[in-house]
Amino acid sequence: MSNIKSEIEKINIPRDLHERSKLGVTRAKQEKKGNKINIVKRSLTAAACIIGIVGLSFSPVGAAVKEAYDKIFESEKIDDPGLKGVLKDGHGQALAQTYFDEKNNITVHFENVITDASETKLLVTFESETTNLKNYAIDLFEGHSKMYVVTAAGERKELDNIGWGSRHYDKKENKVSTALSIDSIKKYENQKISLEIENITIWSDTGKDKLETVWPVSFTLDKSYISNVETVVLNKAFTYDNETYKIEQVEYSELETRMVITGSDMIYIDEFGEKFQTKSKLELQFLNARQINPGSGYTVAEGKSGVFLRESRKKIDPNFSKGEVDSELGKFLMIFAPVKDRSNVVLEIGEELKIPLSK
Amino acid sequence: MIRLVHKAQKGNDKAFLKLFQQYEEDIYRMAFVYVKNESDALDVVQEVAYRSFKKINTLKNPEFVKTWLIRIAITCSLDLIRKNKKVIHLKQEYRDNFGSEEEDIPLSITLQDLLNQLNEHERSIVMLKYYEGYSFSEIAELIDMPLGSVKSVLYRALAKLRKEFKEAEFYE
Repeated sequence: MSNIKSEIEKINIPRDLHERSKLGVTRAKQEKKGNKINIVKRSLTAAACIIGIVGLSFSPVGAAVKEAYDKIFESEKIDDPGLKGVLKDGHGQALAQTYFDEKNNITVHFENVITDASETKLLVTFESETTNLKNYAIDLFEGHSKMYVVTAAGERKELDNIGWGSRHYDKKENKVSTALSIDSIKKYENQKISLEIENITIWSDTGKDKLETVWPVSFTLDKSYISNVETVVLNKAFTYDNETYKIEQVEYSELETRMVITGSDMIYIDEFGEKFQTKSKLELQFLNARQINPGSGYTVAEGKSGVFLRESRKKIDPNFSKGEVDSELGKFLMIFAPVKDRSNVVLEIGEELKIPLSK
Repeated sequence: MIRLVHKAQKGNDKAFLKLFQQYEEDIYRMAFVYVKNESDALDVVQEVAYRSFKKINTLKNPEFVKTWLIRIAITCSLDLIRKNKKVIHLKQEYRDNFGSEEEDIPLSITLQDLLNQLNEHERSIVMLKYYEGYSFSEIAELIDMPLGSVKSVLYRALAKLRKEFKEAEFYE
């Protein structure tokens, strides 16, 4: 029977296997401790239940900003449709700063920062003439990398990732372009702050290594907002594949359209009465249209059934780079590209089900 | 190892991870045989790590930690399958998991058929018997099935495999 054993041994072990074990243990540990981090995030979601407009102004220097970042961030190489949209509209704060990591011979360009009440995007490229950067990533999600904000008073606070962010490696130029997605820094408006990227993750077939370093950028956070986050409470119920779901609310911003959804198949209760979040039929349908593009993240697979938004006649794609964004137990955050006309949006699930996102 | 279990039971996550790491590849392969794709198998491993660390206090006999973890892995895999019943996996996903070099393709098909020709129970028992090396009575206990049923399911699975792999050596 050695043949069966050898066949089963052909199942490749993914490089991030141990990281996934760690994630499971970390989650259990956090729950044991009461998970302070999640409480903060949940309170943010709860605060958003008030119908309203949060956020302030547009960048008046849009035109200048438009020229101040690498065009790669507008291209198909970056899998965040919301980011591309706001860049094309000229929002964000130009940083245009370069840091040279002498020890590792890597040149880091801090290009642009965009923040609203929910999240921050930091656009960074880095390149080297001597070090092959193919496997180098500022991996805040499951790597060794971390991000901090440091105030003028010296307070240093870690910023959590929101989803995975986007990364592209240009082999010809030996250059990595990455759009980091992190907690909002809106509260530091008009303050001189530093953002510090700590440690670079080097992925390999056998696991990951750490390049110990700190890449800092200092600036006064101004003109940073990309307009509004508009929250519409809907509480609209629908049935899909014999399961009942409720769209609690839709949060529209220039970066994304975020739907908060509860459902009858999102919680699993084990034999001990413990509750766990599970992937619902709706989430599986959402992910069904996801296509993996090596080197450039996720896009929508042509012709595959999924979940989309429809803005008048325009189809709005899912934002698959916003995977695994933390939510409350029993809630699924379904995130799409932004919509401009919010008065006439329809949620389309598969070929048949169409739900107008109006009251 | 028993010391690690005791440390983990006191809430030491590093000790638990050290312990878990010894078995995570087996857990992953076990999960893969059930769910048949990398992404879901990784989800299962994460879930097993989560549930087992939460429940490590309920493990009364540290020497059976592996069996205990495998049992949780089976439960998690079956839970995921129940949830995923509607998902159709692309052939591309299979290929991604078995390596991309052309010369591997015929062998991959063998594994692919092994996964596709047997039902969940059959896959599980074949795996436990020939990969993990458990005895019939251990398997019966692990999956809560009468000993006689375990044997008949295994023989049925082997009969199916012989039919599929006429040229392969499936006799002990």
